[in-house]
Amino acid sequence: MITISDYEITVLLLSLKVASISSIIAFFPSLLIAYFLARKNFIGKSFVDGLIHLPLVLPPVVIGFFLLIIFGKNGLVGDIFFSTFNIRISFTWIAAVIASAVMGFPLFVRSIRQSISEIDPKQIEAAQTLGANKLKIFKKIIIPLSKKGIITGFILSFSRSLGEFGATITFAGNIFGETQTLPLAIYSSLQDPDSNLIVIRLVVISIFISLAALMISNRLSK
Amino acid sequence: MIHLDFTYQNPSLSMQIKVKTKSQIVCLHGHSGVGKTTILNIIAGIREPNHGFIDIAGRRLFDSNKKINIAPQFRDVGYIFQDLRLFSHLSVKDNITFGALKHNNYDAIIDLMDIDELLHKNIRNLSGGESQKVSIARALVKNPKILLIDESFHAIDKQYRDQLIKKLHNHIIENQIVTILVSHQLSDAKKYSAEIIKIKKEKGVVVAG
Repeated sequence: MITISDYEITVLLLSLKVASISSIIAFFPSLLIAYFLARKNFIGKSFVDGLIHLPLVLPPVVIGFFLLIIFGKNGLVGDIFFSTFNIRISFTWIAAVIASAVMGFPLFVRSIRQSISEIDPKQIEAAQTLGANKLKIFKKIIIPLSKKGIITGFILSFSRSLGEFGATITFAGNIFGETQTLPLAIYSSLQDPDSNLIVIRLVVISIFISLAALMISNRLSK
Repeated sequence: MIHLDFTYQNPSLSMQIKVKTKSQIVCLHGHSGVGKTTILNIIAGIREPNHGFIDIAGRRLFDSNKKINIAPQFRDVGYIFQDLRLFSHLSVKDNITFGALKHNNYDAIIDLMDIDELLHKNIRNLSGGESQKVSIARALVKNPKILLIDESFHAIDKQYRDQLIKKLHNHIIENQIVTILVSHQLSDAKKYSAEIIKIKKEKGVVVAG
């Protein structure tokens, strides 16, 4: 019988925790921004669009560096958190969550935006004539009809988090039990010539989880 | 009851509409594609005229001079669309109650349209005639002061269509709903005892009269 070691369980559970929380955190901002990008025209739309997509095109290490500047102990936001609440963000599991949320964000937005763009404007007009205000239209028409995009976006963001390496190692470090997710654990094990078996086992776990996430996504979005 | 005086322009359409009538029911009659549906959309508030005003049932819905433009959800309009526009992700009941206020005439409308057995069905499983009845019920359930009907019954066989129009006509009269319908067929207008207003194109501009 195949058994999973305590080390692997720790890495696996941390990866799932970071991926789940980062995707949940990214959900509401992604939904709102996707809605505005799909349905509204406003000054600076192209700029906002470009800004959101930066994590897709920039090296992840650069994103990690920016996050350090913002949330590091002496960073713009990190300094306020540390001096006011004595909370340190960088090099904690929270940093790993933030790094994953930022890296998965454009994928989440793109997926939902596509779904919202495909909603027939006539459905929204019909809802308006039936007395629905913007909030009701958002809740009863936009969200249900974007369900596929939301689910796909969630899984893409979740999967991106499972594979996230550069931003995480820069901003959150590679601390066992705190920030060492699956890719970081694989990287660490690769440094040790005696850990080939561990590498293979971690790779198999990664493949298994990613496949499971995709299968769940396919099933839910039907 | 109905006083329209507005202009509307978009890249493919130029419109100058003047209508004043005390009739409760009017029928906009004209060639296909002349702009009749656009007039209904403007009255419903989902298109905005460039200039002018819209008075219906004693209420000013739009006035470019006074900067009045009541949002569609506050116009008290029931709109039966030509393409029905039912919400396919909702049940029949949820479609009908979508816009219903606390004080609505839900039970009476379900009786009127005889759709009690359809309420828990999925929209996708309805026949053409059933979908038609649901779309009428959805427009009437909030007891609107204005009803817009856009060539909605063309897909139904004649006998059933006449029954439906009769029921709807009685409801409109009993509830004093100001009704504007769009139809190709003058025979329909007669069934509603509607005043006929011709919509036509003159020198590239859509006009009424």
